[in-house]
Amino acid sequence: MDTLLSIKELAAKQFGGDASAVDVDAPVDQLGIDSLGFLEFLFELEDELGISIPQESVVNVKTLRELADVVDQLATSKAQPT
Amino acid sequence: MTGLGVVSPVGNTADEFFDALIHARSGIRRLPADLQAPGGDLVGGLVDFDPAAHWPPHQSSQLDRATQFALVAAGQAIENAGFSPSEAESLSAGVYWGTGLGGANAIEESYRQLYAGNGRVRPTTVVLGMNNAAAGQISIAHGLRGPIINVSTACSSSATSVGEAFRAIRDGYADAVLAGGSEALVTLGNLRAWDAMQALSHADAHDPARSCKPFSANRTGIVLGEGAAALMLETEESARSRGARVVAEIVGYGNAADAKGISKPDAAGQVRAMRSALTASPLSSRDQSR
Repeated sequence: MDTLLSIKELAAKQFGGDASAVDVDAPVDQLGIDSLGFLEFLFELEDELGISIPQESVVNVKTLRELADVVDQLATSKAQPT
Repeated sequence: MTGLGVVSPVGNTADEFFDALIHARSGIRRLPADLQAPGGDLVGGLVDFDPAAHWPPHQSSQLDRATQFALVAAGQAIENAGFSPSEAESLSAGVYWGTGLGGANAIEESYRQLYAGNGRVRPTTVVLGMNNAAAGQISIAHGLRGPIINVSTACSSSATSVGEAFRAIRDGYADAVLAGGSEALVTLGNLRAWDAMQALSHADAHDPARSCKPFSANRTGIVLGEGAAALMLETEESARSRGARVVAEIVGYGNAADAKGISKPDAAGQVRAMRSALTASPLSSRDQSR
């Protein structure tokens, strides 16, 4: 699964525009996404990927690429037996 | 009053609405199966409305149906009035808006998901569902930064907002106010609540469109509907100075509580409200006795 691609497509769907034009390295607030909009985005992403993204894991996330990294790490840690 | 806008079961512009009224066209229909109560004879006035005609999906999803109606009606009123305030004028241009239930669809959907769906509540539920959402979104959409008030007085919410806007303008608190109201409460849960109170009309056996018949001996109840209406109100000086077409003038407003039953209107309160409106107006006693 390409997490970054899923995030780009969801961002285009939720905030308008074309997925290929979403700048995944730009600060999220520069994409016209306010804090509530970002929460709603995370909510949709959780639904789409069937995962739970803990609030504390995204506190320092500034860009969509960083968000994709967090999601991938969550998937990896979940997959590992404890 | 220099502009008006309407979203209704009988037309989504003021002209269509007026045409339907003078031709006595009813907007009441038998409700679809997914909104029916057992027995299947509930009726309602639903608006034929396509959000996609007004916003891309990512924007309409951030607005409750009631707020969507409000924004369309308000936009029509402002356009109809040709009102485009300068930065300075926008500071004395306000929004007075009425609604009984506000974002009822957003709230009901959140409960549905919580109790019977995936158990999750959307982060935007509060800003979609809150009673003042429409007033706030109108203010944002048109940069109206004067006084803003949300009125909730059941069936009189919009009338109260218009009256209070009139007073605000007359008394110098604003030079212009976008006033009106919106409602979109024909939801399954709300219909059941009204039906439980045995207040809803049942479909007329011959013609469901004729189910609403106040004062008739064979009436069976009220009919819930949805929609929005907006009026652009401004001082006469403001309207004249920008050469706006004056559609109507408000000359008086009164407000009185029945202080009786919570669900039973009392004629004495209505009389006092009307008398107080007439007393506040320049109409003569001869006009008042008619």
